[in-house]
Amino acid sequence: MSDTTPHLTMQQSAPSATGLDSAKLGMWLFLATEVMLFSAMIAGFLDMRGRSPADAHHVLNIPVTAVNTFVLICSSLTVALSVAAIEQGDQKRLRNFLLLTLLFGGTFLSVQIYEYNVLIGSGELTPWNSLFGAGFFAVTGLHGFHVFIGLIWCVLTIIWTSQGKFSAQNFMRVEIFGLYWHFVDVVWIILFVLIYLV
Amino acid sequence: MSHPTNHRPAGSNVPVFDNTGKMAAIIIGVTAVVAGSVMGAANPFLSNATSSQGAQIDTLFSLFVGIATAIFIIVQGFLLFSIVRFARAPEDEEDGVPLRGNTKLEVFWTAVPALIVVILSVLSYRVLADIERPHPDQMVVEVTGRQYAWEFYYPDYDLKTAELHIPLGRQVLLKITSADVNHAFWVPQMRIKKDAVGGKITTVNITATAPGVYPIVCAELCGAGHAVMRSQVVVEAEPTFQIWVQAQLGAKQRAAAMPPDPKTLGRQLYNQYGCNACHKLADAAAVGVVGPALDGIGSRAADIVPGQSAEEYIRTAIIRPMDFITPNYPPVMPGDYAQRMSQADLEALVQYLLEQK
Amino acid sequence: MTADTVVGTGLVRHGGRKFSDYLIFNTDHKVIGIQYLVLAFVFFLFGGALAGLIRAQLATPDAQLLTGSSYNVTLTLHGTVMIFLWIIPAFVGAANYVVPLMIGANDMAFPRLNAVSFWLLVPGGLLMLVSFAVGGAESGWTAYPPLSVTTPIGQTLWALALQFIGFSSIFGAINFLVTIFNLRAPGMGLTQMPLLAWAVAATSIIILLGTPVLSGALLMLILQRWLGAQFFTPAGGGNPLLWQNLFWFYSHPAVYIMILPGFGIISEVLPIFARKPIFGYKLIAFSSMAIAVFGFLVWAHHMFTSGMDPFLRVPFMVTSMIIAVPTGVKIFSWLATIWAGKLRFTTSMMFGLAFISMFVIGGLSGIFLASVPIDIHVQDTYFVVAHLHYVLFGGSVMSIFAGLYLWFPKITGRMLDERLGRLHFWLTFMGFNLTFFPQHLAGLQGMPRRVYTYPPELWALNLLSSIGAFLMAIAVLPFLYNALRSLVAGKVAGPNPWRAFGLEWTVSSPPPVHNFPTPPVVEGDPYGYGERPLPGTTGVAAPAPGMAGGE
Repeated sequence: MSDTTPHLTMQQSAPSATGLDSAKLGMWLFLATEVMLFSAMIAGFLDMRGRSPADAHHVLNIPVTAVNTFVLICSSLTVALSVAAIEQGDQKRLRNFLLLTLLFGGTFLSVQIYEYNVLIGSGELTPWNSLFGAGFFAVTGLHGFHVFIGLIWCVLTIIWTSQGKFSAQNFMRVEIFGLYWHFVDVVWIILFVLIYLV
Repeated sequence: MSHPTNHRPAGSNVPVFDNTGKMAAIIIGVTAVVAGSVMGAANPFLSNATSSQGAQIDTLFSLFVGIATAIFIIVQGFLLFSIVRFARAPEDEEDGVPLRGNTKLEVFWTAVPALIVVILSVLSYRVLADIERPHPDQMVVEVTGRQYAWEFYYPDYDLKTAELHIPLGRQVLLKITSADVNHAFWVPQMRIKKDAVGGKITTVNITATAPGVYPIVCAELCGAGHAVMRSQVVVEAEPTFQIWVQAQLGAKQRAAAMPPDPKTLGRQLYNQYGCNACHKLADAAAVGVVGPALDGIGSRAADIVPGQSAEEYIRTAIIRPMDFITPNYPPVMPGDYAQRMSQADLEALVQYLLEQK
Repeated sequence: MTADTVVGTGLVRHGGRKFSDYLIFNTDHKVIGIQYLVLAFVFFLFGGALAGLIRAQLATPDAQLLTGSSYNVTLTLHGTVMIFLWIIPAFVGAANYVVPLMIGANDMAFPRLNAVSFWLLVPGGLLMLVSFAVGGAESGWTAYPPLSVTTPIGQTLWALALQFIGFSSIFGAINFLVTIFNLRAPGMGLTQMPLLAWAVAATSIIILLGTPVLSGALLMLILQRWLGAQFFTPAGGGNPLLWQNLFWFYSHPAVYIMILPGFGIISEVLPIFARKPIFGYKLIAFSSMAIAVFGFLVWAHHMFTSGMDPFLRVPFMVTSMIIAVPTGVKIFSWLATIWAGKLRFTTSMMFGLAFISMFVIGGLSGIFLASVPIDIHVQDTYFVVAHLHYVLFGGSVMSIFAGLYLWFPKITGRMLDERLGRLHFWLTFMGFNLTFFPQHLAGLQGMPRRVYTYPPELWALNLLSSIGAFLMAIAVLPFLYNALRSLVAGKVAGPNPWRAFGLEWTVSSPPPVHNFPTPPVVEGDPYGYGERPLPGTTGVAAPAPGMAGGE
């Protein structure tokens, strides 16, 4: 390890003046930023929807998205289980649950891409032909991008797992990935309610 | 000379607020009050407003000037006094008096400014409510801003003009909107300003109190011609205003009955559609510098784009300005003249420009 | 000395001992601080050159130096560069360098993220320059649609550049907050922190909650420009005011991002050179936080004339006025800090005192702007231009220079020349007032902002402004010469040339790579003047500045 920096890394957190783990505190602060980002986008979406002719969301396929939402909720569960697994030092279960998360998350994103294809391909809803479409694609697209980042992060976490970087004493990175993933799921539930149901 | 310590024992009783300090505080305070009153009463920063709304804004402004002057003098006064009085003597390596706070003082300078801003807010609110109160006898004028000209429409008379005429002493309600980007309608002498936003009607009241001609200025960045997007408001006594209205209506009727001579019409269109804001043209008294000058365009137009006749070139340059941009000029001309102009207006303007030899 | 070695290989390193260490991905907060400061200063010169162009064009009523369009590009880039690539990164750089030292930390909480923050700024700055090269954004730094939708490609690059800069800011803010809350040396409670740390914490909270809203607005703008989504254009049914709301939700708090660190720096400079503790520590710290909170409740005062809901103007007027109170509290506390002190008029102190004097003017004109009826007249005029420059130059830039003169010896180990410093100060101070005071009057008399030509009756005021700007440009020369010469030939500073409290002054100048070879001892807040002996001096007067010798 002589060629790497000997100062503090995420695993060797400094003695903390507040007692909170620095990496975790940093992640929570980042999520506060994300809340504001999505708030701005949702405000934009609601403004656009208010200016659209009524019932612009009838073109959306609600049953498919409802199932997709369930898939994403399942991925939250598997992330929670993967954190629980490594708390007990079970690296194999950690890896398996992360793989399941990857599967669920990938499914969600694929269905979203399929939905985009149908909507834009048929011309029923596009970012340019209606204000509802503009708001819809902006906010769901931003969320989809977050899922995509989450998937990459999940792959990295799986790689770190197979390299044996985590143990019952050292799994902060898994926890932090979990925080992010849960956040992305919660955002989706809010979006699903706001966009598809209301 | 030796300085055994650079700090004083805590609690040592050094006079922090001695007689000199007290005297200075009194002088600064008195100066602040006197100067604040004088500046507030004189308000040297603004000439008299020419609308009743403006006069009220000016009264409020004067009060703000007075209070700001007083605060300015207090802060700068204590600052300057401290700089002179508490400058370290050469060789003096000691520290100052370790004063960490004074609850009474801190409460004082939190509470007093809070009180001042609350009072200022209340007074501002009263002026705001006053200047926006509609008068039952209002005359309505619809104002449209577009790159880079103002257009005024009098619904009472079905009259459209390029400069604003309003009667003295009568409240006018301006309903402002924009045909393209944001603009802001500002009459500095009347202290009246409101943004022109597309898809939205904003309103502002004016009651003119002095006859005269006052510039109308665009105050919201609206593109390359923003600085030259100007017009004027003409304030005249009610009878004169009525005469003007009748004259405009008469001209309009004559124009409808008998087509004006092409040159007059051309000049009028050139200014009505805002060409004048960017393109210099002596014949139309236009001085814009954003785009190329159009003096003599009629004799040059045929040679500019190979394969286009002079007429084709001029028409294309109006309705599809991006097709050919004159070198060294920015590509900023609005591209919507085909929608904005009637076919007849377009042809009349093309013919007029062709005649510019 | 294992603790004082530069580590790392290739393009990733920690610590700065030779020039090339400063050109790469370096995780040492001190290197990153210098990287920020130098980059920001380069952009200051660039933005200043643009300002020079503006003032040259306006020196006469109808100069032909710039066209309407190129003038708009110039003012847009001037505003954007000065705000996002000079003031904000200069504060980030200064804080990056000194805050970890001040709180007794060996580095920032996330050193690699810190380097990432800096290196996100670089593509942001480059994109901004490229946007200039391809025609530039020309709708002002506020980029109001629909105008910003119709302008050429440069506007898109401008928006992308701001996205990069925004990410840089957000990651920086997270880093500062965690550093300040978690990495304080043992014994340093929140109320023993230097006030700069409080100010940076408050700033970081604003960045954290405000910047993402700008990111969202920029995302919508980009989608509109790329995909034709009609968010902001009335022709497609969209809402131009949506942009204004989102933009100012960030950009008004951003004004406090640009001034709170300045408040922090002044709260460090004044006690050192007045030889007195800061007056009203808790109220100053609290007022920073109050400004951070209230800063989010005032944004619509930029929209009083925009056709927003008429009734909502009133609460926004009240909040905008109230925010003057915590600001006033700070000014009075600083005046009380120098009262009965033993003032030393170093260049740093002169910039610090000038800050108080100038910022008050900007603060007072801000109260005018908060009042809706007055704002109706002065909104979007040169009165606003004068106001914002009194705040951002008279305030922020003065405080940046106060900080540079204070910490230059710490950063480089060498003293700056005080005579050149005084020259720099007086040229700046006079040039600044000559430039910006007349602009209040020009605005009141009818000059809107962002115009390349104006009626001849405003010529005298504009000429004064242009002469002032010329002085300000000259003022930079003694500073540049001073800084470069002092780097090699300045007097050796020693660890504590100002005989100041504060942990940063207990280590060598420049500090060792890992800051504190032995854990620092916190004896109280860094304002113990007249109360306790300086650490390490054991009751004996410290030698005069410059006599302390090297390490």
